[in-house]
Amino acid sequence: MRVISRTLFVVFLLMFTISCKENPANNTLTGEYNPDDYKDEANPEYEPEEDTWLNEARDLTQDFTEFPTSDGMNRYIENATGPPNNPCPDGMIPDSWDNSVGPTGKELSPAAVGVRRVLASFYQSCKAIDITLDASTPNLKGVVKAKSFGGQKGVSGGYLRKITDTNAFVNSHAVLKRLKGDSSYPGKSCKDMTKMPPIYGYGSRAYPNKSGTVKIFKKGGGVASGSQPAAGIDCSAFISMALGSQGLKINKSSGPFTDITTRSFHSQINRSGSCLKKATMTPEAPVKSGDIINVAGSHMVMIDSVGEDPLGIEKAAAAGNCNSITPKKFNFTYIHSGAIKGSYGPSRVKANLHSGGSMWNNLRVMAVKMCQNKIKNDGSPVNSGSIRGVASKFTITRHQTSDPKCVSDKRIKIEGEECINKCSNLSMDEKYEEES
Amino acid sequence: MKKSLSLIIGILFSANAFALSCPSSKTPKDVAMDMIRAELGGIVLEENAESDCLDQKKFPHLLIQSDFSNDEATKVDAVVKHLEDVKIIKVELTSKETHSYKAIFEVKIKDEKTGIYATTTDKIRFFLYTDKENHKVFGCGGVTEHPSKVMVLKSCLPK
Repeated sequence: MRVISRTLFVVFLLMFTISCKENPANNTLTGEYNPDDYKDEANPEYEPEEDTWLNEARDLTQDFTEFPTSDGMNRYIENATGPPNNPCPDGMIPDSWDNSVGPTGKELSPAAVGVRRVLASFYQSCKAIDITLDASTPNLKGVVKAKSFGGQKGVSGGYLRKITDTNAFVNSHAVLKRLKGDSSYPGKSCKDMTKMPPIYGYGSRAYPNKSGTVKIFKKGGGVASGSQPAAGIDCSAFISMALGSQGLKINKSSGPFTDITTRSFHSQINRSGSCLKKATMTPEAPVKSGDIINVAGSHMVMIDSVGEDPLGIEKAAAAGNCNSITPKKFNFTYIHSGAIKGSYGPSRVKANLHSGGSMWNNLRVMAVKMCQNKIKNDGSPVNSGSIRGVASKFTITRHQTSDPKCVSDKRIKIEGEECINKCSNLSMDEKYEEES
Repeated sequence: MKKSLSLIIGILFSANAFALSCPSSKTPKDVAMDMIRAELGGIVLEENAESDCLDQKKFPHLLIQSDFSNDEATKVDAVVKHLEDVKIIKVELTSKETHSYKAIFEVKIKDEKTGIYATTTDKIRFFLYTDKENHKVFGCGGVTEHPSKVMVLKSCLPK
C-alpha cells in the first residue's frame, strides 16, 4: 500500500510537470535581434538606390563642383517629403507608389509613409521602423496604471499611465533598449527618447498649432503629471497624425488634418465627399499597406508591410480547409499606438502576435470567406461590409489618395520630424519574412 | 493492485490538464453561454484583465483574450446579480461558410445609471472553430462582436 501511495505521488508529480505545457497560443516566436535585418550597403541589390541618390546629389551640387543652394535643398526636401501631388504641375496624383501586396522593395502608399513618419518621429530614429513587437516580446516594466494618481483622474474615467522607473522601462522596451545601446543615438538635432519614452496614453491627443506643427513630446491627458517624462499618445490620435502628415484628407471638404476617433472615422466612411472607402479585397490581394483596420469604439491600426499570403488564405485554400485560418497565421505588420504589452504606445507589431480579440476575429472571418471564394473560383472582390458574420463596427478602409480632392497641398508637420526625414525605410517597404 | 495500476495508467494517459478543447457535444448555444460568461466577467474592461473571473481555468473551452478599448474609457452599464439571470433566447446561424452565429439573450440587470432593475435583451456575435488543432489553442471559437451593453456580474465588478 505504501509503495502504491508513493508511486501515485510520483505519478502525480510527473503528470503535473508533463501537463504544464505552454498554450501554443503563447508560444514565443524568435524575436532576437538579427543584424542581417539591416541593409547591407555593399549588397548589389541596393545599388540602384545608391545610384539614384548619387544622381540627385550631382544635380544639387553641379556635379560635385559647388555647394547646394538653399533653394535647391528646399525644393529637394519638399519633393521628398511633401504630399504626392506636389511634383505634378497639372495637380494629378501620380501613381508612383505601388499598393500591391507581396513584392518587396516597393514604395509604400502615402498613408503608410505617414504612419512610419509618426512612428519614427516619436522615437527620433529610423530604426524604430525596423523593430517589431511579436508574441515573444515581454511586457514593459517600470510603468503602472490607475484610474487616478493623487488628485488627477484619467480622461473620461479612463486609465492614467505613470512611468515610475525610466531605466526599467527603457531596458524592457524592444525599441528603446536598442536605441540606448546605439552609440550614434540620438542623431544630430534629434531628441533622446530614452529620457522621455513614448507611451500609450488614453486621452493623450495632439493637434497642430498655428504653424501647422503637432507637438508630440508631451505627456498629454493619459499620462500622470507625476510620471517620469514621457510622450503619450492614444490610438486614434496617432492615426490622425499619420494621415495629416501626408496631407491626406478625411473628406474632400476638410483640411489636411482631422482629429478623428474610432467612432468618427467609422461614421465618416459613408458620408458624402468621404475620402475613406471600404477596401476592396480579393483572395490574392486581401490587404494593402496603408489600409486602416478600425473597430468603432475600440481600436484602429494601419497596415504597414504585407508579406506573402498575408491572411493565410492561399495555404488554407490549398489544403481545402478554410476554417483552419486563425490570426496566428497572419503575415503582415501594422503600426499603431495601443495598450499592448503593458502600454507600449507607438509601435510596429506583427499581426500574428494576436490570438483573438474582436478586431482580429473579424479579419479572420473575412479571410475564411475569401478562402471559400477562392476554392469556388469566385474572384468577386469583397469588403468589410459585404460579408455575413463580420461585425458592422468593423471596417477595413483605404484612403482615396488617387483622387486629387482627397489630398491637400498642405500637410501638418510632426515635431521632431526633421530628425527622420531622410530615413530610407520611410517610404520603401522592407522585405518581410514570415518567421518559422 | 489491478485497479491501482489502471488508475496510474489512466492518469498517465489522461488529457493535458491545462490545454483547451472543444468537446463534440458542445452546441453553439453552449459556446455562446461560455462567451457570455466571459462578458459578465468583464472581458471588455481594462481593469478586469487580471481578474479571477477571467481565469483561464474557468474557461476550458474558450481562450480568454482581454479585449478592452484603446479608444474609449469603457464603463459598466449594468450589473447582473447571478449567472442564472441570463437566458439565451435564440442562436442563429448567420453564415454557414464561416460558421458564424448570433446569440440573442435576455438578462436581468440593474442599470448603473438609473438604479432600476429590468430585463434587457442583447446579442453577441461569434464564430466556431471546427478543427481539433485550433480547438487545442483557441477553444471552440471567437467573439466578433461584444454585446452593446457592458454587463458585469456583481461578484466580478472592478474593485
